[in-house]
Amino acid sequence: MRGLLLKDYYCLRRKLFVWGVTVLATTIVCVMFMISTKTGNIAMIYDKMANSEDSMDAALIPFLTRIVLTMFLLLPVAASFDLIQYVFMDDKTASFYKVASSLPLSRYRRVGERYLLLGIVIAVSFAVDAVLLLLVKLTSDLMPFIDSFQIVLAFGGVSLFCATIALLFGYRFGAEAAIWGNLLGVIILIVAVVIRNFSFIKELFTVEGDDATLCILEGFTGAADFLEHKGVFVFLVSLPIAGAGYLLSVWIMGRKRGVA
Amino acid sequence: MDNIVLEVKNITKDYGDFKLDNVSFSVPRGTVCGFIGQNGAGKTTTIQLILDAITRDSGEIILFGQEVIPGRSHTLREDIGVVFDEMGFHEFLTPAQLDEIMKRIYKNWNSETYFGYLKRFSLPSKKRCGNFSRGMRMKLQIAVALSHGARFLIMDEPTSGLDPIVRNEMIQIFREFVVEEDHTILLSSHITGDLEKIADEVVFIDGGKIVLAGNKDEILEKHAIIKCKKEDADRVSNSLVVDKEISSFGAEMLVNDRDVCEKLYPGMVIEPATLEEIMIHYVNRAKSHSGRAE
Repeated sequence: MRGLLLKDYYCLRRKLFVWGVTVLATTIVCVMFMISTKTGNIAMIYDKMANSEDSMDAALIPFLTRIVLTMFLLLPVAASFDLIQYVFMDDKTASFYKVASSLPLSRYRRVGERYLLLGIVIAVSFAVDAVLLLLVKLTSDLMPFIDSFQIVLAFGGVSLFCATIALLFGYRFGAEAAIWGNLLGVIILIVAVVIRNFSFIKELFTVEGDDATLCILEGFTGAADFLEHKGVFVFLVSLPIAGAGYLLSVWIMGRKRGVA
Repeated sequence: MDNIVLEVKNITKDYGDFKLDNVSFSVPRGTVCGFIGQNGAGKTTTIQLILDAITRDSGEIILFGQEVIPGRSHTLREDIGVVFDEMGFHEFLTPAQLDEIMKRIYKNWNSETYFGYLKRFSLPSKKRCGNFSRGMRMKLQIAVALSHGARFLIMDEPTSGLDPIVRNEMIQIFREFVVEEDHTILLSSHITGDLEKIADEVVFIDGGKIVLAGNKDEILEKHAIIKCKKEDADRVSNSLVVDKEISSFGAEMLVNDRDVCEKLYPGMVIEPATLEEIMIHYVNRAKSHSGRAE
Protein backbone atom coordinates (compact mmCIF):
# COMPACT_ATOMS: atom_id res chain seq x y z
CA MET A 1 0.00 0.00 0.00
CA ARG A 2 2.95 2.32 0.70
CA GLY A 3 3.98 1.96 -2.93
CA LEU A 4 0.57 3.10 -4.16
CA LEU A 5 0.59 6.00 -1.70
CA LEU A 6 4.00 7.05 -3.05
CA LYS A 7 2.66 6.80 -6.61
CA ASP A 8 -0.28 9.02 -5.63
CA TYR A 9 2.11 11.44 -3.97
CA TYR A 10 3.99 11.73 -7.28
CA CYS A 11 0.61 12.38 -8.95
CA LEU A 12 -0.43 14.98 -6.39
CA ARG A 13 2.94 16.71 -6.30
CA ARG A 14 2.10 18.27 -9.65
CA LYS A 15 -1.21 19.55 -8.34
CA LEU A 16 -0.06 20.66 -4.90
CA PHE A 17 0.79 24.09 -6.33
CA VAL A 18 -2.92 24.83 -6.85
CA TRP A 19 -3.73 23.58 -3.37
CA GLY A 20 -0.82 25.61 -1.95
CA VAL A 21 -2.11 28.77 -3.67
CA THR A 22 -5.56 28.11 -2.14
CA VAL A 23 -4.06 27.79 1.33
CA LEU A 24 -1.89 30.87 0.84
CA ALA A 25 -4.86 32.91 -0.42
CA THR A 26 -6.89 31.76 2.58
CA THR A 27 -4.11 32.78 4.94
CA ILE A 28 -3.77 36.22 3.33
CA VAL A 29 -7.54 36.78 3.50
CA CYS A 30 -7.59 35.74 7.16
CA VAL A 31 -4.74 38.13 8.03
CA MET A 32 -6.40 40.98 6.10
CA PHE A 33 -9.70 40.34 7.87
CA MET A 34 -7.99 40.36 11.24
CA ILE A 35 -6.25 43.64 10.48
CA SER A 36 -9.50 45.10 9.19
CA THR A 37 -11.51 44.07 12.25
CA LYS A 38 -8.89 45.62 14.54
CA THR A 39 -7.90 48.80 12.78
CA GLY A 40 -9.35 48.78 9.29
CA ASN A 41 -12.64 49.40 7.54
CA ILE A 42 -14.58 46.66 9.32
CA ALA A 43 -13.63 48.12 12.71
CA MET A 44 -14.51 51.62 11.51
CA ILE A 45 -17.96 50.59 10.20
CA TYR A 46 -18.63 48.65 13.38
CA ASP A 47 -17.75 51.66 15.55
CA LYS A 48 -19.93 53.98 13.48
CA MET A 49 -22.91 51.63 13.61
CA ALA A 50 -22.47 50.85 17.28
CA ASN A 51 -22.57 54.59 18.09
CA SER A 52 -25.59 55.19 15.88
CA GLU A 53 -29.24 54.45 16.67
CA ASP A 54 -29.24 51.35 14.50
CA SER A 55 -27.26 49.14 16.90
CA MET A 56 -28.92 46.00 15.61
CA ASP A 57 -27.17 46.35 12.25
CA ALA A 58 -23.89 46.87 14.09
CA ALA A 59 -24.37 43.55 15.87
CA LEU A 60 -24.57 41.89 12.47
CA ILE A 61 -21.09 43.00 11.43
CA PRO A 62 -19.08 40.47 13.54
CA PHE A 63 -21.56 37.76 12.55
CA LEU A 64 -21.23 38.47 8.82
CA THR A 65 -17.46 38.78 9.18
CA ARG A 66 -17.37 35.33 10.75
CA ILE A 67 -19.44 33.86 7.93
CA VAL A 68 -17.17 35.31 5.26
CA LEU A 69 -14.04 34.21 7.11
CA THR A 70 -15.47 30.72 7.63
CA MET A 71 -16.19 30.45 3.91
CA PHE A 72 -12.52 31.12 3.19
CA LEU A 73 -11.42 28.64 5.84
CA LEU A 74 -13.42 25.92 4.13
CA LEU A 75 -11.52 26.37 0.86
CA PRO A 76 -8.56 24.07 1.75
CA VAL A 77 -10.99 21.22 2.58
CA ALA A 78 -12.93 21.82 -0.63
CA ALA A 79 -9.72 21.88 -2.67
CA SER A 80 -8.64 18.59 -1.08
CA PHE A 81 -11.44 16.75 -2.84
CA ASP A 82 -10.21 17.96 -6.23
CA LEU A 83 -6.86 16.33 -5.45
CA ILE A 84 -8.51 12.92 -5.11
CA GLN A 85 -10.23 13.36 -8.46
CA TYR A 86 -6.92 14.27 -10.09
CA VAL A 87 -5.44 10.97 -8.87
CA PHE A 88 -8.43 9.02 -10.14
CA MET A 89 -8.24 10.65 -13.57
CA ASP A 90 -4.45 10.22 -13.75
CA ASP A 91 -4.84 6.47 -13.13
CA LYS A 92 -7.49 6.31 -15.80
CA THR A 93 -5.39 8.25 -18.34
CA ALA A 94 -2.39 6.00 -17.76
CA SER A 95 -4.50 2.78 -17.67
CA PHE A 96 -2.81 2.14 -14.34
CA TYR A 97 -5.73 -0.09 -13.32
CA LYS A 98 -4.29 -2.88 -15.44
CA VAL A 99 -0.92 -2.62 -13.71
CA ALA A 100 -2.56 -2.38 -10.28
CA SER A 101 -4.51 -5.58 -10.93
CA SER A 102 -1.23 -7.44 -11.53
CA LEU A 103 0.44 -6.24 -8.33
CA PRO A 104 0.55 -8.47 -5.24
CA LEU A 105 -1.99 -6.29 -3.47
CA SER A 106 -5.48 -7.36 -2.44
CA ARG A 107 -8.56 -5.45 -3.56
CA TYR A 108 -8.99 -4.36 0.06
CA ARG A 109 -5.57 -2.75 0.00
CA ARG A 110 -5.94 -1.16 -3.40
CA VAL A 111 -9.29 0.43 -2.55
CA GLY A 112 -8.16 1.09 1.02
CA GLU A 113 -5.23 3.13 -0.27
CA ARG A 114 -7.59 5.48 -2.12
CA TYR A 115 -9.75 5.99 0.98
CA LEU A 116 -6.64 6.39 3.13
CA LEU A 117 -5.37 9.05 0.74
CA LEU A 118 -8.72 10.83 1.02
CA GLY A 119 -8.40 10.67 4.82
CA ILE A 120 -4.83 12.01 4.72
CA VAL A 121 -5.76 14.92 2.44
CA ILE A 122 -8.73 15.88 4.64
CA ALA A 123 -6.59 15.53 7.79
CA VAL A 124 -3.94 17.85 6.27
CA SER A 125 -6.71 20.35 5.41
CA PHE A 126 -7.94 20.17 9.02
CA ALA A 127 -4.40 20.82 10.24
CA VAL A 128 -4.04 23.86 7.95
CA ASP A 129 -7.40 25.23 9.10
CA ALA A 130 -6.51 24.59 12.75
CA VAL A 131 -3.34 26.68 12.33
CA LEU A 132 -5.30 29.48 10.60
CA LEU A 133 -7.96 29.44 13.31
CA LEU A 134 -5.27 29.66 15.98
CA LEU A 135 -3.90 32.65 14.12
CA VAL A 136 -7.35 34.26 14.13
CA LYS A 137 -7.85 33.39 17.80
CA LEU A 138 -4.52 34.96 18.76
CA THR A 139 -5.37 38.24 17.05
CA SER A 140 -9.06 38.69 17.93
CA ASP A 141 -12.02 37.26 19.80
CA LEU A 142 -14.03 37.16 16.59
CA MET A 143 -13.99 33.40 16.20
CA PRO A 144 -13.86 31.01 19.17
CA PHE A 145 -11.47 28.20 18.19
CA ILE A 146 -13.56 25.18 19.18
CA ASP A 147 -16.79 26.50 17.64
CA SER A 148 -15.12 27.49 14.40
CA PHE A 149 -13.19 24.25 14.15
CA GLN A 150 -16.46 22.36 14.51
CA ILE A 151 -17.67 24.12 11.34
CA VAL A 152 -14.49 22.95 9.58
CA LEU A 153 -15.10 19.41 10.90
CA ALA A 154 -18.69 19.50 9.63
CA PHE A 155 -17.51 20.57 6.21
CA GLY A 156 -14.85 17.85 6.35
CA GLY A 157 -17.67 15.37 7.04
CA VAL A 158 -19.64 16.72 4.07
CA SER A 159 -16.53 16.44 1.86
CA LEU A 160 -15.89 12.89 3.07
CA PHE A 161 -19.50 11.93 2.35
CA CYS A 162 -19.47 13.44 -1.16
CA ALA A 163 -16.04 11.97 -1.90
CA THR A 164 -17.29 8.54 -0.80
CA ILE A 165 -20.19 8.73 -3.25
CA ALA A 166 -17.77 10.00 -5.92
CA LEU A 167 -15.37 7.11 -5.29
CA LEU A 168 -18.24 4.62 -5.48
CA PHE A 169 -19.29 6.11 -8.81
CA GLY A 170 -15.67 6.09 -9.97
CA TYR A 171 -15.26 2.40 -9.19
CA ARG A 172 -18.63 1.46 -10.65
CA PHE A 173 -18.84 3.64 -13.76
CA GLY A 174 -15.28 4.81 -14.35
CA ALA A 175 -13.15 7.78 -13.32
CA GLU A 176 -15.13 10.31 -15.36
CA ALA A 177 -18.30 9.44 -13.43
CA ALA A 178 -16.73 10.46 -10.11
CA ILE A 179 -17.78 14.09 -10.61
CA TRP A 180 -21.43 12.98 -10.98
CA GLY A 181 -21.09 11.01 -7.78
CA ASN A 182 -19.87 14.14 -6.07
CA LEU A 183 -22.86 16.06 -7.40
CA LEU A 184 -25.23 13.32 -6.23
CA GLY A 185 -23.65 13.54 -2.77
CA VAL A 186 -24.38 17.28 -2.66
CA ILE A 187 -27.97 16.69 -3.85
CA ILE A 188 -28.53 14.00 -1.19
CA LEU A 189 -27.33 16.42 1.50
CA ILE A 190 -29.49 19.28 0.22
CA VAL A 191 -32.55 17.01 0.15
CA ALA A 192 -31.77 15.80 3.69
CA VAL A 193 -31.46 19.40 4.96
CA VAL A 194 -34.71 20.43 3.20
CA ILE A 195 -36.64 17.45 4.64
CA ARG A 196 -35.23 18.07 8.12
CA ASN A 197 -36.17 21.79 8.02
CA PHE A 198 -39.23 21.61 5.79
CA SER A 199 -41.57 23.57 8.08
CA PHE A 200 -39.01 26.36 8.50
CA ILE A 201 -38.39 26.57 4.72
CA LYS A 202 -42.15 26.67 4.13
CA GLU A 203 -42.44 29.55 6.59
CA LEU A 204 -39.59 31.34 4.83
CA PHE A 205 -41.61 31.42 1.63
CA THR A 206 -44.84 32.63 3.28
CA VAL A 207 -43.62 35.50 5.53
CA GLU A 208 -43.17 39.02 4.10
CA GLY A 209 -41.42 42.30 4.90
CA ASP A 210 -39.35 42.62 8.09
CA ASP A 211 -40.52 39.18 9.21
CA ALA A 212 -38.81 37.70 6.16
CA THR A 213 -35.51 39.38 7.10
CA LEU A 214 -35.84 38.08 10.64
CA CYS A 215 -36.69 34.64 9.35
CA ILE A 216 -33.61 34.53 7.10
CA LEU A 217 -31.45 35.77 9.97
CA GLU A 218 -32.94 33.11 12.20
CA GLY A 219 -32.10 30.49 9.59
CA PHE A 220 -28.50 31.64 9.33
CA THR A 221 -27.96 31.79 13.07
CA GLY A 222 -29.68 28.42 13.51
CA ALA A 223 -27.42 26.81 10.91
CA ALA A 224 -24.34 28.46 12.36
CA ASP A 225 -25.36 27.38 15.86
CA PHE A 226 -25.85 23.78 14.67
CA LEU A 227 -22.49 23.66 12.89
CA GLU A 228 -20.61 25.35 15.75
CA HIS A 229 -21.97 22.99 18.38
CA LYS A 230 -22.71 19.77 16.51
CA GLY A 231 -20.23 19.91 13.63
CA VAL A 232 -18.15 17.14 15.16
CA PHE A 233 -21.16 14.81 14.94
CA VAL A 234 -21.54 15.54 11.23
CA PHE A 235 -17.92 14.45 10.80
CA LEU A 236 -18.36 11.39 13.03
CA VAL A 237 -21.45 10.30 11.06
CA SER A 238 -19.47 10.57 7.80
CA LEU A 239 -16.84 8.09 9.08
CA PRO A 240 -19.02 4.93 9.10
CA ILE A 241 -20.52 6.05 5.77
CA ALA A 242 -16.99 6.22 4.32
CA GLY A 243 -16.29 2.79 5.88
CA ALA A 244 -19.39 1.32 4.23
CA GLY A 245 -18.41 3.04 0.96
CA TYR A 246 -15.00 1.40 1.19
CA LEU A 247 -16.46 -2.11 1.60
CA LEU A 248 -18.94 -1.48 -1.20
CA SER A 249 -16.11 -0.24 -3.47
CA VAL A 250 -14.17 -3.47 -2.82
CA TRP A 251 -17.30 -5.47 -3.69
CA ILE A 252 -17.83 -3.46 -6.88
CA MET A 253 -14.20 -3.94 -7.89
CA GLY A 254 -14.55 -7.71 -7.68
CA ARG A 255 -17.60 -7.76 -9.90
CA LYS A 256 -16.82 -5.10 -12.42
CA ARG A 257 -16.38 -5.92 -16.09
CA GLY A 258 -12.70 -5.57 -16.93
CA VAL A 259 -10.13 -4.54 -14.37
CA ALA A 260 -11.06 -1.77 -11.96
CA MET B 1 1.46 -31.84 -11.18
CA ASP B 2 4.78 -30.26 -10.17
CA ASN B 3 5.52 -29.82 -13.82
CA ILE B 4 2.45 -27.69 -14.38
CA VAL B 5 2.71 -23.98 -13.52
CA LEU B 6 -0.80 -23.05 -14.51
CA GLU B 7 -3.88 -25.19 -14.78
CA VAL B 8 -7.15 -23.67 -15.90
CA LYS B 9 -10.14 -25.98 -15.42
CA ASN B 10 -13.55 -25.30 -16.94
CA ILE B 11 -13.59 -21.59 -16.18
CA THR B 12 -16.62 -19.61 -17.19
CA LYS B 13 -17.23 -15.88 -17.18
CA ASP B 14 -20.45 -14.55 -18.62
CA TYR B 15 -20.72 -10.85 -19.46
CA GLY B 16 -24.04 -11.25 -21.26
CA ASP B 17 -22.73 -10.13 -24.65
CA PHE B 18 -19.61 -12.28 -24.32
CA LYS B 19 -19.02 -15.56 -22.57
CA LEU B 20 -15.80 -17.31 -21.73
CA ASP B 21 -17.15 -20.83 -21.96
CA ASN B 22 -15.71 -23.78 -20.09
CA VAL B 23 -12.10 -22.87 -20.81
CA SER B 24 -9.49 -25.47 -19.85
CA PHE B 25 -5.79 -25.66 -20.58
CA SER B 26 -2.49 -26.02 -18.77
CA VAL B 27 0.96 -24.50 -19.06
CA PRO B 28 3.91 -26.82 -18.31
CA ARG B 29 6.85 -25.49 -16.30
CA GLY B 30 9.82 -24.20 -18.28
CA THR B 31 7.88 -23.64 -21.49
CA VAL B 32 6.67 -20.72 -23.56
CA CYS B 33 2.96 -21.09 -24.11
CA GLY B 34 1.50 -19.07 -26.94
CA PHE B 35 -2.05 -17.95 -26.26
CA ILE B 36 -3.48 -17.11 -29.65
CA GLY B 37 -6.76 -15.86 -30.94
CA GLN B 38 -8.22 -12.93 -32.81
CA ASN B 39 -9.09 -9.67 -31.02
CA GLY B 40 -12.09 -10.20 -28.72
CA ALA B 41 -11.59 -13.97 -28.58
CA GLY B 42 -11.25 -13.95 -24.77
CA LYS B 43 -7.47 -13.85 -24.26
CA THR B 44 -7.43 -10.78 -22.03
CA THR B 45 -10.45 -11.95 -20.01
CA THR B 46 -8.70 -15.29 -19.41
CA ILE B 47 -5.53 -13.48 -18.30
CA GLN B 48 -7.54 -11.25 -15.97
CA LEU B 49 -9.13 -14.34 -14.44
CA ILE B 50 -5.73 -15.99 -13.98
CA LEU B 51 -4.48 -12.82 -12.26
CA ASP B 52 -7.67 -12.75 -10.16
CA ALA B 53 -8.28 -9.21 -11.41
CA ILE B 54 -11.90 -10.20 -12.11
CA THR B 55 -14.07 -12.86 -10.51
CA ARG B 56 -14.93 -16.01 -12.45
CA ASP B 57 -18.44 -17.45 -12.49
CA SER B 58 -17.29 -21.04 -12.19
CA GLY B 59 -14.28 -23.29 -12.68
CA GLU B 60 -10.92 -23.64 -11.06
CA ILE B 61 -7.50 -22.06 -11.57
CA ILE B 62 -4.39 -23.63 -10.08
CA LEU B 63 -1.25 -21.52 -10.07
CA PHE B 64 2.09 -22.86 -8.77
CA GLY B 65 0.11 -25.79 -7.35
CA GLN B 66 -2.22 -23.55 -5.33
CA GLU B 67 -5.84 -22.83 -6.08
CA VAL B 68 -6.55 -19.22 -7.01
CA ILE B 69 -9.30 -18.20 -4.60
CA PRO B 70 -11.14 -15.11 -5.88
CA GLY B 71 -10.07 -12.02 -3.95
CA ARG B 72 -7.58 -13.90 -1.78
CA SER B 73 -4.72 -14.99 -3.99
CA HIS B 74 -2.89 -11.70 -4.47
CA THR B 75 0.26 -13.06 -2.82
CA LEU B 76 0.70 -15.47 -5.74
CA ARG B 77 1.28 -12.39 -7.91
CA GLU B 78 4.64 -11.89 -6.15
CA ASP B 79 5.95 -14.63 -8.47
CA ILE B 80 4.30 -13.33 -11.64
CA GLY B 81 5.60 -10.66 -13.97
CA VAL B 82 2.96 -9.09 -16.18
CA VAL B 83 3.43 -7.15 -19.40
CA PHE B 84 0.44 -5.49 -21.05
CA ASP B 85 -0.11 -4.18 -24.56
CA GLU B 86 0.14 -0.62 -23.24
CA MET B 87 2.53 0.70 -20.62
CA GLY B 88 0.13 1.43 -17.74
CA PHE B 89 2.58 3.66 -15.87
CA HIS B 90 1.87 7.37 -15.51
CA GLU B 91 3.62 9.41 -18.14
CA PHE B 92 5.08 11.84 -15.61
CA LEU B 93 6.85 9.05 -13.71
CA THR B 94 10.52 8.35 -14.34
CA PRO B 95 11.98 4.81 -14.25
CA ALA B 96 13.86 5.83 -11.07
CA GLN B 97 10.57 6.80 -9.39
CA LEU B 98 9.07 3.47 -10.51
CA ASP B 99 11.90 1.75 -8.65
CA GLU B 100 10.92 3.67 -5.49
CA ILE B 101 7.29 2.63 -5.93
CA MET B 102 7.88 -1.02 -6.82
CA LYS B 103 10.32 -1.69 -4.01
CA ARG B 104 7.52 -0.76 -1.61
CA ILE B 105 5.14 -3.18 -3.33
CA TYR B 106 7.14 -6.32 -4.19
CA LYS B 107 8.83 -8.20 -1.36
CA ASN B 108 11.57 -9.49 -3.67
CA TRP B 109 12.12 -6.32 -5.67
CA ASN B 110 15.74 -6.03 -6.73
CA SER B 111 16.79 -2.48 -7.63
CA GLU B 112 20.16 -3.66 -8.89
CA THR B 113 18.52 -6.03 -11.37
CA TYR B 114 16.07 -3.32 -12.40
CA PHE B 115 18.72 -0.71 -13.10
CA GLY B 116 20.73 -3.42 -14.87
CA TYR B 117 17.83 -3.95 -17.26
CA LEU B 118 17.39 -0.19 -17.72
CA LYS B 119 21.06 0.02 -18.71
CA ARG B 120 20.80 -2.98 -21.01
CA PHE B 121 17.69 -1.57 -22.71
CA SER B 122 19.28 1.93 -22.90
CA LEU B 123 16.41 3.43 -20.91
CA PRO B 124 17.26 6.70 -19.14
CA SER B 125 16.32 6.43 -15.47
CA LYS B 126 15.62 10.13 -14.96
CA LYS B 127 13.55 10.77 -18.06
CA ARG B 128 9.74 10.76 -17.87
CA CYS B 129 8.32 7.63 -19.45
CA GLY B 130 5.78 9.77 -21.32
CA ASN B 131 8.69 10.74 -23.57
CA PHE B 132 9.54 7.12 -24.36
CA SER B 133 8.80 5.48 -27.70
CA ARG B 134 6.44 2.49 -27.82
CA GLY B 135 9.37 0.10 -27.89
CA MET B 136 10.99 1.79 -24.88
CA ARG B 137 7.71 1.64 -22.97
CA MET B 138 7.42 -2.09 -23.57
CA LYS B 139 11.02 -2.58 -22.48
CA LEU B 140 10.32 -0.61 -19.30
CA GLN B 141 7.40 -2.93 -18.55
CA ILE B 142 9.65 -5.93 -19.12
CA ALA B 143 12.33 -4.46 -16.83
CA VAL B 144 9.71 -4.09 -14.08
CA ALA B 145 8.30 -7.58 -14.72
CA LEU B 146 11.75 -9.19 -14.51
CA SER B 147 13.04 -7.36 -11.43
CA HIS B 148 11.09 -9.02 -8.64
CA GLY B 149 12.14 -12.62 -9.08
CA ALA B 150 9.10 -13.67 -11.11
CA ARG B 151 8.97 -17.32 -12.13
CA PHE B 152 6.05 -16.88 -14.49
CA LEU B 153 5.68 -14.15 -17.08
CA ILE B 154 2.23 -13.36 -18.39
CA MET B 155 2.20 -11.12 -21.40
CA ASP B 156 -0.88 -9.72 -23.08
CA GLU B 157 -0.09 -8.68 -26.67
CA PRO B 158 3.36 -7.33 -25.77
CA THR B 159 4.63 -7.19 -29.33
CA SER B 160 1.63 -5.62 -31.06
CA GLY B 161 2.43 -2.30 -32.70
CA LEU B 162 6.19 -2.79 -32.43
CA ASP B 163 8.57 -2.74 -35.37
CA PRO B 164 10.19 -6.08 -36.34
CA ILE B 165 13.60 -5.14 -34.89
CA VAL B 166 12.20 -4.37 -31.41
CA ARG B 167 9.91 -7.43 -31.59
CA ASN B 168 12.89 -9.62 -32.32
CA GLU B 169 14.83 -8.03 -29.47
CA MET B 170 11.95 -8.75 -27.10
CA ILE B 171 11.67 -12.34 -28.23
CA GLN B 172 15.37 -12.70 -27.46
CA ILE B 173 14.71 -11.42 -23.92
CA PHE B 174 11.87 -13.93 -23.47
CA ARG B 175 14.17 -16.73 -24.65
CA GLU B 176 16.77 -15.73 -22.07
CA PHE B 177 14.10 -15.74 -19.37
CA VAL B 178 13.03 -19.32 -20.07
CA VAL B 179 16.60 -20.59 -20.14
CA GLU B 180 16.26 -20.91 -16.36
CA GLU B 181 14.59 -24.22 -15.66
CA ASP B 182 11.61 -23.11 -13.62
CA HIS B 183 10.79 -20.02 -15.67
CA THR B 184 7.60 -20.11 -17.73
CA ILE B 185 5.89 -17.70 -20.11
CA LEU B 186 2.27 -17.35 -21.17
CA LEU B 187 2.42 -15.12 -24.22
CA SER B 188 -0.87 -13.87 -25.58
CA SER B 189 -0.68 -12.57 -29.12
CA HIS B 190 -2.46 -12.45 -32.41
CA ILE B 191 0.91 -12.09 -34.16
CA THR B 192 1.43 -15.78 -34.77
CA GLY B 193 4.81 -15.28 -36.45
CA ASP B 194 6.35 -14.34 -33.09
CA LEU B 195 4.84 -17.40 -31.45
CA GLU B 196 6.11 -19.72 -34.14
CA LYS B 197 9.60 -18.51 -33.30
CA ILE B 198 9.42 -18.97 -29.57
CA ALA B 199 6.42 -21.00 -28.34
CA ASP B 200 6.64 -24.61 -27.17
CA GLU B 201 2.94 -24.93 -26.45
CA VAL B 202 -0.03 -23.28 -28.11
CA VAL B 203 -3.50 -22.58 -26.79
CA PHE B 204 -5.91 -21.27 -29.39
CA ILE B 205 -9.06 -19.55 -28.23
CA ASP B 206 -11.94 -18.31 -30.34
CA GLY B 207 -15.33 -16.90 -29.34
CA GLY B 208 -14.58 -17.64 -25.69
CA LYS B 209 -13.89 -21.34 -26.31
CA ILE B 210 -10.65 -23.27 -26.58
CA VAL B 211 -10.31 -24.54 -30.12
CA LEU B 212 -6.89 -26.15 -29.95
CA ALA B 213 -4.34 -26.73 -27.22
CA GLY B 214 -1.12 -28.68 -27.18
CA ASN B 215 2.46 -28.88 -28.27
CA LYS B 216 3.16 -26.36 -31.05
CA ASP B 217 5.28 -28.70 -33.16
CA GLU B 218 2.69 -31.46 -32.91
CA ILE B 219 -0.07 -29.06 -33.95
CA LEU B 220 2.00 -27.84 -36.91
CA GLU B 221 2.91 -31.38 -37.92
CA LYS B 222 -0.65 -32.60 -37.66
CA HIS B 223 -2.26 -29.84 -39.72
CA ALA B 224 -1.66 -29.22 -43.41
CA ILE B 225 -2.92 -27.13 -46.26
CA ILE B 226 -4.22 -28.97 -49.30
CA LYS B 227 -4.37 -27.05 -52.54
CA CYS B 228 -6.29 -28.67 -55.36
CA LYS B 229 -8.73 -28.11 -58.21
CA LYS B 230 -12.31 -27.23 -57.33
CA GLU B 231 -13.63 -30.54 -58.56
CA ASP B 232 -11.10 -32.49 -56.45
CA ALA B 233 -12.08 -30.71 -53.22
CA ASP B 234 -15.06 -32.99 -52.60
CA ARG B 235 -12.84 -36.06 -52.70
CA VAL B 236 -11.30 -35.13 -49.37
CA SER B 237 -13.18 -36.67 -46.47
CA ASN B 238 -15.17 -34.11 -44.46
CA SER B 239 -13.89 -35.61 -41.22
CA LEU B 240 -10.38 -34.47 -42.17
CA VAL B 241 -11.28 -30.99 -43.36
CA VAL B 242 -11.29 -28.20 -40.81
CA ASP B 243 -12.28 -25.55 -43.30
CA LYS B 244 -12.11 -25.04 -47.03
CA GLU B 245 -12.05 -22.02 -49.29
CA ILE B 246 -13.17 -22.47 -52.84
CA SER B 247 -12.43 -19.81 -55.43
CA SER B 248 -12.44 -19.68 -59.22
CA PHE B 249 -8.73 -20.63 -59.17
CA GLY B 250 -9.19 -23.77 -57.09
CA ALA B 251 -9.65 -24.97 -53.55
CA GLU B 252 -7.55 -24.55 -50.43
CA MET B 253 -8.36 -26.46 -47.29
CA LEU B 254 -6.94 -27.01 -43.84
CA VAL B 255 -6.85 -30.65 -42.82
CA ASN B 256 -6.33 -32.02 -39.34
CA ASP B 257 -4.31 -35.16 -40.16
CA ARG B 258 -1.45 -34.59 -42.50
CA ASP B 259 -0.13 -38.19 -42.50
CA VAL B 260 -3.51 -39.68 -43.36
CA CYS B 261 -4.04 -37.12 -46.12
CA GLU B 262 -0.64 -37.86 -47.65
CA LYS B 263 -1.56 -41.55 -47.79
CA LEU B 264 -5.12 -41.08 -49.04
CA TYR B 265 -4.53 -38.28 -51.56
CA PRO B 266 -1.03 -38.74 -52.99
CA GLY B 267 -1.71 -36.63 -56.07
CA MET B 268 -2.69 -33.50 -54.17
CA VAL B 269 -0.36 -30.69 -53.10
CA ILE B 270 -0.09 -30.99 -49.32
CA GLU B 271 1.89 -28.19 -47.65
CA PRO B 272 2.75 -27.52 -44.02
CA ALA B 273 0.36 -25.08 -42.37
CA THR B 274 1.50 -22.05 -40.40
CA LEU B 275 -0.06 -21.07 -37.09
CA GLU B 276 -1.65 -18.11 -38.85
CA GLU B 277 -3.30 -20.35 -41.45
CA ILE B 278 -4.49 -22.73 -38.74
CA MET B 279 -5.93 -19.82 -36.78
CA ILE B 280 -7.67 -18.29 -39.79
CA HIS B 281 -9.24 -21.57 -40.92
CA TYR B 282 -10.49 -22.48 -37.45
CA VAL B 283 -12.01 -19.00 -37.08
CA ASN B 284 -13.64 -19.34 -40.52
CA ARG B 285 -15.05 -22.73 -39.56
CA ALA B 286 -16.50 -21.32 -36.34
CA LYS B 287 -18.06 -18.44 -38.31
CA SER B 288 -19.60 -20.74 -40.89
CA HIS B 289 -20.94 -23.03 -38.13
CA SER B 290 -22.49 -20.11 -36.25
CA GLY B 291 -23.85 -18.78 -39.58
CA ARG B 292 -25.52 -22.11 -40.19
CA ALA B 293 -26.86 -22.21 -36.64
CA GLU B 294 -28.47 -18.80 -37.15
